[in-house]
Amino acid sequence: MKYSGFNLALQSLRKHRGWQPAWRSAQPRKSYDVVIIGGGGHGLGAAFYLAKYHGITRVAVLEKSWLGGGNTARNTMTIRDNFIYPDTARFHREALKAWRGLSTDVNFNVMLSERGMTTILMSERDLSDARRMINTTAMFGAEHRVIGIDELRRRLPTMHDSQRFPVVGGIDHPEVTVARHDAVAWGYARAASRLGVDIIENCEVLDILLDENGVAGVDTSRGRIETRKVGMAVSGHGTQVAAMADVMLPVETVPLQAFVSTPIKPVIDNVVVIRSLNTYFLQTDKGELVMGSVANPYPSFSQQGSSGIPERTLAAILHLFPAFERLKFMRQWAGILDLTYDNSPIISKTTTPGFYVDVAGSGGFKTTPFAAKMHADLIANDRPDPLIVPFSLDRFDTGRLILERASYGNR
Amino acid sequence: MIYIPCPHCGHRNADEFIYGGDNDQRRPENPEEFSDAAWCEYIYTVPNVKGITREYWRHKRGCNRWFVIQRDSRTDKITPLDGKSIDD
Amino acid sequence: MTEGFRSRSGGRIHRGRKISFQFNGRRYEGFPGDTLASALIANGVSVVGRSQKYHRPRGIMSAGLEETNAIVQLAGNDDEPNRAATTLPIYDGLVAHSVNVAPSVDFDLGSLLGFFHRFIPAGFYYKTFMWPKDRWDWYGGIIRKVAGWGTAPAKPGGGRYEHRNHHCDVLIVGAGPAGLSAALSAGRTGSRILLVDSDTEPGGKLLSDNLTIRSCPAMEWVDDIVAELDLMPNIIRLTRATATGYFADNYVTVIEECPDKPWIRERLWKVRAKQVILATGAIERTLLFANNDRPGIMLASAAMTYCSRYGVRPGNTAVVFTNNNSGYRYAIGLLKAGVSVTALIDTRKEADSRLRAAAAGSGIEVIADARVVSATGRRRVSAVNIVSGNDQSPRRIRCDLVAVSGGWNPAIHLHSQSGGKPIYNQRIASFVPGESKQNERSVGACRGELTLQSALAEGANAGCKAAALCGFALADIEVPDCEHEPEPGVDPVWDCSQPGGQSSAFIDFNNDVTSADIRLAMREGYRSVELVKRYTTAGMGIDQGKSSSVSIVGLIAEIAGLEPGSVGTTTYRPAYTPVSFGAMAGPAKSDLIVPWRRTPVTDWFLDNGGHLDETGAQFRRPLFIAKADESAGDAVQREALAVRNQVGIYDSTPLGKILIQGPDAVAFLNRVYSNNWENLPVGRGKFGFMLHEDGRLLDDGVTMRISDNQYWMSNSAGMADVVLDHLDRLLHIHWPELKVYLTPITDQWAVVCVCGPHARDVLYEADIDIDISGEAFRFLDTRLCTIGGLSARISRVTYTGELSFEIAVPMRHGLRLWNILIAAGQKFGITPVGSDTSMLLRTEKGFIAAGLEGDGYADIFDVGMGWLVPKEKADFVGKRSLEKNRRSDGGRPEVVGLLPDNSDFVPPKGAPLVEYDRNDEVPQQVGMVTIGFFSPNLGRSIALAQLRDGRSRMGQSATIYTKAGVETATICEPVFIDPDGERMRD
Repeated sequence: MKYSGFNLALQSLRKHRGWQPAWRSAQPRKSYDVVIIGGGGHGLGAAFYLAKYHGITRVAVLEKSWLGGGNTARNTMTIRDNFIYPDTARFHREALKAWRGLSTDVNFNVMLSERGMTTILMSERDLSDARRMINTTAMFGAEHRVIGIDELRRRLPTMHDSQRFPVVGGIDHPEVTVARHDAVAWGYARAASRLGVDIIENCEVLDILLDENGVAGVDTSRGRIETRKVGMAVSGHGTQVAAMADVMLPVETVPLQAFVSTPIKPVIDNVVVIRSLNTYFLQTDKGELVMGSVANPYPSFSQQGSSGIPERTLAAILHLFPAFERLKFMRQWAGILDLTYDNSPIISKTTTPGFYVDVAGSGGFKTTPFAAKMHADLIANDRPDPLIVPFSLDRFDTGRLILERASYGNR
Repeated sequence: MIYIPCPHCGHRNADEFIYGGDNDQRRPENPEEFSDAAWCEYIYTVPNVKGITREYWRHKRGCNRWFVIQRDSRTDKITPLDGKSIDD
Repeated sequence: MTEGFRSRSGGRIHRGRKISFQFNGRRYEGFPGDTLASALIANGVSVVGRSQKYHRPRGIMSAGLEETNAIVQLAGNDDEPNRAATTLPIYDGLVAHSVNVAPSVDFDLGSLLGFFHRFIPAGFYYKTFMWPKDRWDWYGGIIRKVAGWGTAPAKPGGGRYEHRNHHCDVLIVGAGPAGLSAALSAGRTGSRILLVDSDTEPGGKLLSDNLTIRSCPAMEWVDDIVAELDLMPNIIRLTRATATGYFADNYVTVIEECPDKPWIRERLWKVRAKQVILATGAIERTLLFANNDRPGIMLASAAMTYCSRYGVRPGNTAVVFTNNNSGYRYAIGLLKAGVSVTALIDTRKEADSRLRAAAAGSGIEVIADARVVSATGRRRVSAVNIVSGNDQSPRRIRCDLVAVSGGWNPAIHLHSQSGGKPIYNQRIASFVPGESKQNERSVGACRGELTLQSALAEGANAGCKAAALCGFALADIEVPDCEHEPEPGVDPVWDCSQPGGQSSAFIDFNNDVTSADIRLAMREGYRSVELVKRYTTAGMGIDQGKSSSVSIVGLIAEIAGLEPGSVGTTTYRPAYTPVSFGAMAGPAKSDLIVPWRRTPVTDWFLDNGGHLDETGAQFRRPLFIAKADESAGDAVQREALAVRNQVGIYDSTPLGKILIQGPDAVAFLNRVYSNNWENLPVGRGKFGFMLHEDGRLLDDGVTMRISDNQYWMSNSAGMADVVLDHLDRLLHIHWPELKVYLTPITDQWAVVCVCGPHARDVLYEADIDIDISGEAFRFLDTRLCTIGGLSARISRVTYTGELSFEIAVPMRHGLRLWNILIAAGQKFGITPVGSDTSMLLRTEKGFIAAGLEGDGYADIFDVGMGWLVPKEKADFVGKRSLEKNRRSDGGRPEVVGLLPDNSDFVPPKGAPLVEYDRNDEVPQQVGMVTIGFFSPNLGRSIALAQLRDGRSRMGQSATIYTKAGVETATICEPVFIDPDGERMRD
């Protein structure tokens, strides 16, 4: 049944008994044209685009736990395109645009909201970096602009100044968008399932089978599946999964934490970034402040989190927004990221024919639809779109890295 | 906050230390004899072990000593190491 | 005060003094010892808030930190959102009001939404609001306004918050019977103990449950124990202190409210304990029936607490609804407190026989094998409808209080945070701690052992065991006799509402989630507990599922036909209870948030017009030193002219300095720099470039040999720490055989640079005692000297291309040296210059900045420094990667100069250089301006840039893209002044 206001009203009169499962919970078949490993936004999206744009519907998405339970569930929902290198600026610009119309495409409201972002700049150096970002991204149509201190104060009336880092101005990023993270996975799952994709939960990939032609299949906790093409869209365990296909990825697994407050009435519209203190926050539709900062300074697969990073994050926020002192910290959580050597994404063929990877590089939520589209295109055609050529694994052979400083989790 | 056993100062909070990488990664003495592929692997990839790793840490905000610990990257639990500090 | 609800005696309140407070604009009175919740009940206030989504009237439902309904905003000076009234002690002048109501809690327009509740089930927003395309923000904006609870204060609270590190042998969380018993036995061993409890006084459930120990009221035992503990020097006991987070290696955070010092609002204890004993008790859960959220329906334990601890009756006519033995005790307790208990409804056929007899003996009608299916009344419960046995025709019982006991959920949050995996326990129909992953043990109710006798015994044992593991000898274990409490014998019923009923049975009061919502989510395929939680938002409210999470799991299991154990719990995450931002941040929120490293001249700059900015490495240094009414641009131009024509003075202290000592220092330098370091005489310096192992540029600078085995290395200010870490790492991990010591000396030496044609004159004027003529003291020479009476090291290095001297003195003499040189330079027009000016001057000269011209993957050849890589040189860090990277075809980002065709146009830093191939809408980027200035010495604009294959494009035109439009420039060699370096070698 199509999701619409009309059907919602109709079902309301029928006590909502007519709603069907959002996606079929499929049993693995013997073989597929493509197997996607990872049932998060990136993996489910790739499956959806394979079916929608490439007519490949014999596709299975294998998820070892529950759908969208990895970094799709653990991020701060922000979709931004403020990158400084032309390749990443262009990539993230396309990624931002790729969100538009997603709710309609998948017939699932992912609550896309162009909230805008405000970056607080606390040194002339930051200001000069901001101008660089603005000039680079302008080529691709982005609308970032520097704003003066008066406009900044109008936008953030509760902001105080800092003696340590006097505020010099800000950046307005009007197109920065937030989306409901879980809904992205569910929406893709539902839409892909309707196009015939098999979504298989609680199915862990134990090995990738190889023969002289490359990928031959996967062994899973729910049996063996034959396939000639495997797309990897996992985060946190990219090293382990790629190793099954004899591929070494230049990644390191690092926890990244985020925090929320108890819900309060709206105090900020924008995503706010305190650049000099590596901190950002926004307010969700439910009223919670969501806050984040840097990645843990050492690799780990533990999602336990620590107390030091939230303490420093809140100190940074209170440094400029002392009126928040009596708000309440409610919950913290940690996701684990596969940070690439240069913090930039890898969407690439590999040395193993039939094995393709989509590694977010740092935080990957913002690129979900675009990376999924490009990944699907790469799997279908076995050749990268020009937009993702710079994000191939080859860059490590030539040393032409894209060391993007605008990524979170900088090393 | 993990509690790291500095061989010189005893246990201290992790924020006094910096992580120094996996201890298998010693710089080769003969880089010119490496193939490009082997060299790339040395430069860009780390074992990224999910499980017990042996790794370097440095007590930067303390005695500045480098040492090796054994840690389970799944739980961050540090287990005893029979080896000695690399300074010895 | 309505006498009707306050009993004449009893309870732990102090009736001798009255406290006056305001709630929702009305004035009330209470007593010391009251919480806001108990005082409101005493005053007959029953609607205290409205629910989040449907704005249903809500009353107090608990007496603890699991409260979901009585969430209030404090006003006035104490302005604070989202406080639970149940844990807030009242004080004189307290002003509070309900949150999320408009205009008032009694008349809330939002409640109109309730009529539409059918149209807005869980997740309704995912199915609609998709038209017009991408216009969710219209709808979201409206939803945002109605969502959220309290209001953020507009002004800083001005509170002080302290952080304290604490180490102990045994941390005991909870001072109920188990925790106190543990503290006593561990304390008697002499081990260092921290005992924390979130309540205002110790005792836990003994404060309210009227139990007996040694045949006396249990609180007498509590008082004895506390008295003994408080005499032990090895015990610190905290009240109103909540353990909120349990992290790796037994690191537990504890928030202490209103500690001993009146000027501290909250204190965050960061506790590192050898052993942790969790005695956090259990939280009663509610039962699901239609309208189970009406005011007057509360947890049975809470009703009991209000009666016995606070001396207030939460109602006059009560029905107790239970699925376990606890309901009996509470029914009798309510009766004793003067509440008329009309009926005790038990879902089970059988109950503890002694309790049943006691209830019946008190005249309470016990209705077994029955359940409440719905409640009536809107602003206050007025009756319940029950069905019993096979008789499905409802019976109506009038009441104004429903005390619900749905069984007990052990507070396993901290255990779960510590890494433990909770397991389902059939006996209590709830989750209990699994295997310990850290040095912790749970005792008593939080382990699922819900009786008083177990709590006392387990606590005493655990106390001994934990102390013994810390090396303290076992004391005699003393377990007092106590009243025997029966096991609860819980009947796991998860939803008593009748399917298809018109009214909702709420499972998460805070987020207004009903059992129908859970069923809908399951029907739609959101079957994992995590998905149900996320789709319905159940368990994600302010109480973080304290009251609801197990019921959610139970209901999911029932619907799916599984065991609750196989459904599993969601992960419990810190914080256990919400913590103020102020307490988390502590003192670090001040200007000390990042250290400010000062040089001896920093204050001089502040007094003399210096415009300070971040330098990197936590220094701030002037970009320029403006005269009165001078613009930034004018100041930089004036300073730049002064350096080229007279003389400038510059504070170089923030530059990184590393002393490299030892017999293998040369070997070390050879490995870390690309060029050769053999045969450098003492007293000479050399320029070098360091690479990353992956071939990228790391940093450049001059290193001077100051004695046989001592080298003085300089780094860029911002890179000093990175370089030191890089070198230290190489030395310790990769080349431990090298006999080399590194000593960072940035903070030991103040360095002042004097540069310009009159630099030498200034130094002579300042009485330098050595010959610094061009012949005696060449470019890159270094010597010891005295100047102005100060012992100093002088070196000839330059960042401007001018005749230039750097003079280093011990840090404490820095300002004196500065003043001496300023005075000596007066007659030569000496001009203090800032780092913007220095940047302009190096741009004119075409000196490379690794962080700008070396941006991205540019290498040493790209920046024109290939001469620093001798062909014959063996290995150095970065060499192998350099070879590999340079084998790929052209297209390198080579550094060039740019002369804009419009000589007034200053190319902005970072502006792309582009080519318009074909009729591309988006131009191809082929390079980037790395720095641009208007050069006063050339009278025109200049820039340096990275340009793809730039060195083969000399003389051609480049297109510079800016947001404002495109400009063209001529590509030239990247040096604009004195290409042969005659000035600096003068």
